[in-house]
Amino acid sequence: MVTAWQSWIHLENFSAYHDVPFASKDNGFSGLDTELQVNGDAQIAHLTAMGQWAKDGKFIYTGRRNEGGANFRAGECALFTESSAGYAGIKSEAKFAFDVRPLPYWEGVGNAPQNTIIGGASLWVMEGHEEEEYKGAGEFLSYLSSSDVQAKWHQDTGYLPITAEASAATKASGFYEENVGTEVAVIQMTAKAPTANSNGLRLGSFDQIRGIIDEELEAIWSGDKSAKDAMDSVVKRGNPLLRRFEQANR
Amino acid sequence: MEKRVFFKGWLLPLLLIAPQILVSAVFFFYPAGQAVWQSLFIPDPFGLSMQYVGLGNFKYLLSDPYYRASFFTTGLFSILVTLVSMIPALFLAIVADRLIKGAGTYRTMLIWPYAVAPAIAGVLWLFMFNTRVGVVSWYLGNLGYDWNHVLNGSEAMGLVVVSSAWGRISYNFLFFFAALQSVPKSIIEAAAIDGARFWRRFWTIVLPLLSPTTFFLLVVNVVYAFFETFGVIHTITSGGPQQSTTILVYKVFADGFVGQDLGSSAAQSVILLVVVGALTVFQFKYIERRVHY
Repeated sequence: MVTAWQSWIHLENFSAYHDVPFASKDNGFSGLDTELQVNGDAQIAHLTAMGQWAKDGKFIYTGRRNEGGANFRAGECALFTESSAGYAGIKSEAKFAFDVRPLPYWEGVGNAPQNTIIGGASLWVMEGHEEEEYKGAGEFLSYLSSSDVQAKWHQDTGYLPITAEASAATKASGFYEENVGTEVAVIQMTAKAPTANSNGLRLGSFDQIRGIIDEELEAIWSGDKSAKDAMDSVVKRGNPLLRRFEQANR
Repeated sequence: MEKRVFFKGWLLPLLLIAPQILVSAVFFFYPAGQAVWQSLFIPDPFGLSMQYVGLGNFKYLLSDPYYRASFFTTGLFSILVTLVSMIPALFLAIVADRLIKGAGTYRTMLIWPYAVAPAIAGVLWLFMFNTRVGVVSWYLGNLGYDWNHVLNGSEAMGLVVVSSAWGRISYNFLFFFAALQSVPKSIIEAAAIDGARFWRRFWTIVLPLLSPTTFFLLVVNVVYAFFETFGVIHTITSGGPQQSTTILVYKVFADGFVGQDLGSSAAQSVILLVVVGALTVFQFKYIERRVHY
């Protein structure tokens, strides 16, 4: 097995999918005085299993981003946990038949399967600009979220459509029948109403916290630390960053 | 018996040094001053406001075990890069010096790696050692050694050291080669007539006469290893498995631009400035005494 975006898939999405908290205060949504809770039983059990697979050679760690794609597309690994955006690359490069399935989960842990959370980039409009500029920004965002554009964006890249309208249009056009597996990510994310644990994450300094998580996960894969020690270390190192963020935004 | 130029009046000297002062002021004093100022604050993520914390950033850094570990990593990295880039350069310079035929061609080809930008050199070496598609890692795999610099800290350190030192060897080679030309042949011949063999001649005559160049290269290479190797680290390991290749200057980038913690990043720059300044002063004060001019 090989993976991409290890923190996003095996900790953040894992916690959301199994309906266990990633951080306190509804994953940061209800307050800045949040604390990390990634050292919960569910996460530690999962990472202990993965650590064992890494030692047995069943799980191959290839990097913090999506380097694992190369190993999967070359036929080296049978299982690949990845973002839906990786579909296009696999379809064009893989010289074997492959199938797309929802994220695996541990039966009986938490409330699995709940729903997965979004990843990828986003566009923000900041204050402090001229009226005219906001008009332009508004028109651009309207264009981007129009049904045709969103549907095409979704179909070409594998990113999920941001409007129900675009999703319905894609379904109506028969895209999902022609390209088997492209609907899995959509269903996985929208089939159930999200709980407080699967609404997403709102944490300060999260880029740095992800860096810390990546480092500690690497410690697990190389056998330097147990999953429990690594996740306790993530909490210990990540909470001061959250406090700094809180202090800077009082 | 130094030659000195005397100027009448002060306007002309002022005008002559004004461009240099201007450049230093704009590109060094102003950013350095801003870094010192910013190190006393914690900014909010969008850069719209700042909170004064005095020396809080520095206290936070010095109590962080990972920051302290970064000092050790940087020290190790600098020493390795300096050694790996200077010793082969000296060896190549000596060998090139003894060449008669084709000296020009060898010299030119040995200088080429210096023209490669650090980031590109990093990507080049990354491709060769890539765990999946790398040529070298494939051959090592055939010999039975599983190369994985993504998980193994020492391998990552080795890879970035070689990557950084590779282009630097050319630079050092150039200086050593030029310095070797200025060693008087008469002294070498006199020693040879006295029966001194090549290595003895090298250790007792050539190396001491090369000492100004060696000292200069030592200072310059240490500064290079501290600052200009950022491109290599960023492209190859991004700070490496579990921060094993996170040198101080990379941490400045990671915390400032990736983590958007400009206060801590500025504080780290200030500390780095003081450290490298002290190191250079130390080198000039203590090592320069042993240099024969």
